[in-house]
Amino acid sequence: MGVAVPHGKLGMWLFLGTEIMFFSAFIGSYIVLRLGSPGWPTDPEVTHIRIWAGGLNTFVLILSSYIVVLAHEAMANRQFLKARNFLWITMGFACLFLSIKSYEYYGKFDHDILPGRIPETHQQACQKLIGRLEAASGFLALEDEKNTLERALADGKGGESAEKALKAKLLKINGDPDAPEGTPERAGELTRRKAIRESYQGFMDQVSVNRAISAEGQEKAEKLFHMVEGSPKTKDHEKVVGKLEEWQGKHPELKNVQIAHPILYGNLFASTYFLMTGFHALHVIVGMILFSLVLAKGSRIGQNPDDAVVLENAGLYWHFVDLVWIFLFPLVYIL
Amino acid sequence: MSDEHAHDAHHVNYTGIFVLLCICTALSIVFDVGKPYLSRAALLILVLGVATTKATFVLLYFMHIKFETGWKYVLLAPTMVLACCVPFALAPDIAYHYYEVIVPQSYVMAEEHVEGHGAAAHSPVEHKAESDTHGDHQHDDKHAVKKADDHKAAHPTTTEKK
Repeated sequence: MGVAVPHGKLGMWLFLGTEIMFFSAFIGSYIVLRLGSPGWPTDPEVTHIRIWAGGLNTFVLILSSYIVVLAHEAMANRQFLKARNFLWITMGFACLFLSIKSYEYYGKFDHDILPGRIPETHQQACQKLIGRLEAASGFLALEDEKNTLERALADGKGGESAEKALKAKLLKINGDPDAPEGTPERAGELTRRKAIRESYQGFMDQVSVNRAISAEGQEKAEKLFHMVEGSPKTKDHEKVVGKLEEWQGKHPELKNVQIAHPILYGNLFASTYFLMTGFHALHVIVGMILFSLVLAKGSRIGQNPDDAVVLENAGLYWHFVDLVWIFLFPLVYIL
Repeated sequence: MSDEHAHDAHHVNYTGIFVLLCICTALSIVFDVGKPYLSRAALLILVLGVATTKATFVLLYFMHIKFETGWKYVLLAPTMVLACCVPFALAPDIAYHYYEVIVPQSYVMAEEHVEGHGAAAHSPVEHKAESDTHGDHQHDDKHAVKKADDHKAAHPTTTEKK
């Protein structure tokens, strides 16, 4: 006496049972976190969520699920060539799904919508901007290079020619005292970089958005949570934006520095987005591998009765992948 | 999908199911377009209702659950119960707490509230209470979006520069 179902299929269903719990833990946590985070980012211009991409991917997965069913039906009717062609079409759709997903991920990486990298307060946005300005000015990196060169020179290794090369490099960094006054050669690269840094450093040090909330202020806010005096931080953030344009006009090095805007709960959004869609994409890849096992038989497909069983189980898995996306689409893209 | 016997015994109009799933997907998009005219609760019910309908059709017909015998209940019922455990366990502390949560994000909300509406008119606490009474955070979201829009009008974001 036992369950009237093939072992392979029962195994696949048991596995899918664990998969249901796996994804429902992610989706459930996402819903709970979202409900507990007032101000969760929903504006597509901020989150870079593209409804057309999600909708298209939904259609692609549904269509691929339909094709898999047709492949299984063809296999059952012993139309093996037809089944194989259907499987190739499914593989094509799986690739299309992953391509659209990659395009979406590219947008997120390009705009730094990544877990732990999104400023959520004006202060964090300011710190991020300072980091970008520091990197663009190149002062600290050049100072490090200078120290390294000086140490190498003090070590005196490499002979006369190496010493000459090190001195030439240092001269370029520190400036040439013999060069005509007022020329860039006389000032040196380090002075030039320092000037770039100084152009924004004073302002950024003073601006209120760059200061953490004081203990007194925090206590007051926690007690009252009214902020009765208002806060100049948002206005100061606007000032920083205006200043950046001014600095960029003066120093071409800062041209590519982009302002960082705070996104409330942006990091939580990015973490849950990548967790859910990332694991789903991994499942798509696993589904493709399962179909490859059948396709690897080539023209011998169907000769072994196990092929039909493998296809059936791979199909079940694929429909489950579709099922997960059916819920991810409205939760992540629409709501 | 089922075993051979079940497959032979039950003919399913797969094309019809596929068309139905496509219609459901199109409906989801229509609801997304109609977002400004729908309340948050209505959108939630409509969109998740469509998703559940789609999932049911995939499960019943594409995965042939409809034609399976009683083992499906033995296998899936405990799974579904356990699947609900995580959200139910987390919800009381994270989603629906009775106390005010003070996190850096709360300060930003407070600042924007003060600058947007004036400090004396509403406190953030009241503001949150209003949102909760309405059962959603639409007010907060709209406010945040408005702020973002104002911001974008003055200074293109990193998005728009690309």
